Amino acid sequence: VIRQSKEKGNQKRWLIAEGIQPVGKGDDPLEAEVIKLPSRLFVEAKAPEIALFLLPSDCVQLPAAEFPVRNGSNKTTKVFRAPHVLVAKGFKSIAFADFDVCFRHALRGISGPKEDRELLIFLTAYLRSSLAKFYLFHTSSNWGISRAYVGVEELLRLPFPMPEISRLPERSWAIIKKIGSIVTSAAKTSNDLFAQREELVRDASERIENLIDEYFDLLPSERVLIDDTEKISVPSFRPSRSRRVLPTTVAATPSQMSTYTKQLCDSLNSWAEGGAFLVEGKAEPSERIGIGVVILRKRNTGSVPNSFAAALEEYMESFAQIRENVSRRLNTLELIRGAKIFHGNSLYIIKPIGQRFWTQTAALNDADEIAGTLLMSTPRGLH
Amino acid sequence: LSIVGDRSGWEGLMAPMLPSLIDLIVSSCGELPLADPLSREDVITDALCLILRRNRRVRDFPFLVYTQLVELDPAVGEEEGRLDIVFQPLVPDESIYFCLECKRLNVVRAGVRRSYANEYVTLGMMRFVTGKYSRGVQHGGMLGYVYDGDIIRAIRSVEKVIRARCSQLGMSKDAVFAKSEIRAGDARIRMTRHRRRHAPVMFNIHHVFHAMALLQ
Repeated sequence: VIRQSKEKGNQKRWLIAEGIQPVGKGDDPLEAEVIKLPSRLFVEAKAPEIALFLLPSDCVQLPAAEFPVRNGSNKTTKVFRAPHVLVAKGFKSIAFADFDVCFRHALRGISGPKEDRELLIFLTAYLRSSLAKFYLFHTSSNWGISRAYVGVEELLRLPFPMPEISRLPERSWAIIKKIGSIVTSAAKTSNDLFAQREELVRDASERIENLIDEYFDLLPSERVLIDDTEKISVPSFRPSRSRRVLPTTVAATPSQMSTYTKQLCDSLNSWAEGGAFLVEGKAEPSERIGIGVVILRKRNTGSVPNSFAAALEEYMESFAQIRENVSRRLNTLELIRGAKIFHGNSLYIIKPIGQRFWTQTAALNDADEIAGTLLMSTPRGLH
Repeated sequence: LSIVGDRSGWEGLMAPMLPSLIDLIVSSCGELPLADPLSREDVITDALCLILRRNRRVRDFPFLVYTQLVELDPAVGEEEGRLDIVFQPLVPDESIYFCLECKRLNVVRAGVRRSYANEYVTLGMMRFVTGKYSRGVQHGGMLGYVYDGDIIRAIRSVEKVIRARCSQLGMSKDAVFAKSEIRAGDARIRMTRHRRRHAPVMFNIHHVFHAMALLQ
């Protein structure tokens, strides 16, 4: 649906292009060119107001609707025309602008015809969503490795199914219109004298997030992956002096361990549903030794729930020793981070205490691994 | 994580997975688009795999669904195996939990019906029995695309070939299709049990017969 300025003769309805590049100290002024702009309004790429929506009052006025640009700068001014979406290359500042506004090349614009206003607002909301962040974090070649930067080709790879091709086009259109009205209303309210803009944007974003989930038909298990990526993984990459505490390495709390155990049991029980057995479990941490242990037990669906009264703490030293022995015995090149030990109708899971081993994503992965192991295990008597 | 210990105490926990999987296959077959009366089974199998992958319920299973998976390193002297549809657990090896072999049945060409029951048995069921497919597990699946929609005739034709080849198939002389143990009430689903040379326990093939909707 989006074409780049170098693409010619195609039917894509929206245009993406970066802003203008001013003439720098090292540039030959003779090669500079003054281009006409559609507006005198100009916004700096670092303006904190570039969040969900942009207002004319957030911009500065250029002396004239023209700008001297260096040789090689983008000279397509169509992208400054409303309705358009402004996206910073670092993917942190994204806003919809309902008016013509110019910007430098640290921002990219996506511009379309007037009749696509609601779709472009929806695109803005989607680009700001945790779903888009999840996708781009995992697919961008820079983000998570070097600086947070999303290339234009990477941005254009982001799936953006139009409402007509969804399973329920009418509902998809209703979601787009609803998001359009949320953003328009928040932008209007933010003009009020005593309006708290940050709060307005936060409230609107929270309401939009659920609608985006519905539009993209996300399952609860998929939402878990997105939340963990946004809250645990993304802030843990590229630590800086000001951000030394990494969520992945912080010790998991007993509450996180309980949530992990619940997610693990729920996943296993969903596959065991309708059968004769179910699984229940309990987790216990030991910060002293630096491990956490989960004990899972299989029982008949009609039988009395297992008692996990005996504290696991007294066995922690043994569990730590077992984990070490298992690591040595397998003698692989990979770092053995934990162990799953089947014993009778119990399964002991021994893991380091770092938070990344106790996310709900980890629970889903562990459930997959346990299920895969059980499904592929050789039945009794078969060798 | 390293996985150690005796898993026998956990047998049976995942047993309901198989009925859910068979239900998924049957319901996905119902979504197949109209097929060309002369199209080969691979075209239909690819379409079915696409439907399976797009199904929201698949995302709840601990599997990845692949089609036309090629056996890269077949045993010496054996031809390369191409598995029609496989359900692969998310474990770090190439284990296949459930393999579905798809075959055409009752194809009508220029007014002449050909059952293809022989191909169903020799190029389908036999691959499970010899251990070429699903060597380490106890269940496999056959999916018959019944082109003329006559499932009863298709089942009878296949049964005739099964009886003729019962010893090769590791079945008794009076072998017939049994009712499905997991979906006994569904006449489209049948079951056969086989002794395999390499394994002391019986192997179950779950047969699903799907009446194709064809383009006129």
